[in-house]
Amino acid sequence: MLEIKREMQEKELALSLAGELDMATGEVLEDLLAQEDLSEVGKITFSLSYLDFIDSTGIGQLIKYFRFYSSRNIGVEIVNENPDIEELLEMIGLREIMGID
Amino acid sequence: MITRQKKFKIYRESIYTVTKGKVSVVTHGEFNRFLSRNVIVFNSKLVNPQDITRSRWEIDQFLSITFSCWQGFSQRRKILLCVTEAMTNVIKHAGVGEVRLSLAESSLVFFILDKGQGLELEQLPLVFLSKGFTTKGSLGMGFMLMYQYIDRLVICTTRKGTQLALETQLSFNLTAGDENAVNSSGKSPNWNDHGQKHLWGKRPGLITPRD
Repeated sequence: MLEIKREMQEKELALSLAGELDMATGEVLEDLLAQEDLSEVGKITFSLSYLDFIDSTGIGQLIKYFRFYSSRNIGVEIVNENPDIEELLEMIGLREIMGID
Repeated sequence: MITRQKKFKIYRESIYTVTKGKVSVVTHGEFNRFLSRNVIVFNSKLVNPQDITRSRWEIDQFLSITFSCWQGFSQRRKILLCVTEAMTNVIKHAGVGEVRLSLAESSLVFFILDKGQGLELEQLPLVFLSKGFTTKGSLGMGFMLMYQYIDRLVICTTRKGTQLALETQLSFNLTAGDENAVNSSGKSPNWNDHGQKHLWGKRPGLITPRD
């Protein structure tokens, strides 16, 4: 199960994910973003701190968004304070892919 | 002209050596013999993506109840991650399959089985050792994570399907005297009637290329 808390402040869309992000639940995030009017959005922040579980499919989905939105001049930031998830992000090289060391 | 049998022998010995005995490539017959030796304590069909989430949750519940001392261990989370990666491969590449769990005294073995098109022999080294190798445009990190976190991987893959076993040594022993390792009812779980210490024989989790 994936729950998403959405906040829009000025031009920044903040999405806080809670629960599990995998192949089954990814469509919840996909549907939410598909319904967003991004014409006024300058930056999207995904917060992973409240996720209980994420796998390589979930991280792949975030990388897909990073590539998609970056190419449309929308900044993407991944925020995380969960050490287990951070270890996985490092192993997969998410920060490296996003150009952040 | 190199025969398929000879090629298979070269690949499995090379992979076994390069991975320092961590990855064993076996034949269908070998895998089925190993599978039949084990007592399966959990079994779940994989038909759609929701089955991945459901199976992971059920496995987590099963492990939490069976091994009450294992609450909150990061090892369990890593095992669940690896099983999820393997189950996701089934749904992505084969469509349907199943996951089974077998318990031994000091290890867990997950069997992830499907009847998809399988992997080519030549792809196996890339799958395990090359970061980002994929045949489906995905991230291609699933097997690399399994290789990183699982103690032993045994794979049989042909055009008739893929059979994968993920064995992990537990950070505690499931011996009769280890009361913390059993469930809260005080009864030892019936994980292995054969009293095996390791599921693959005397050497922990090892199927040598010469077996």
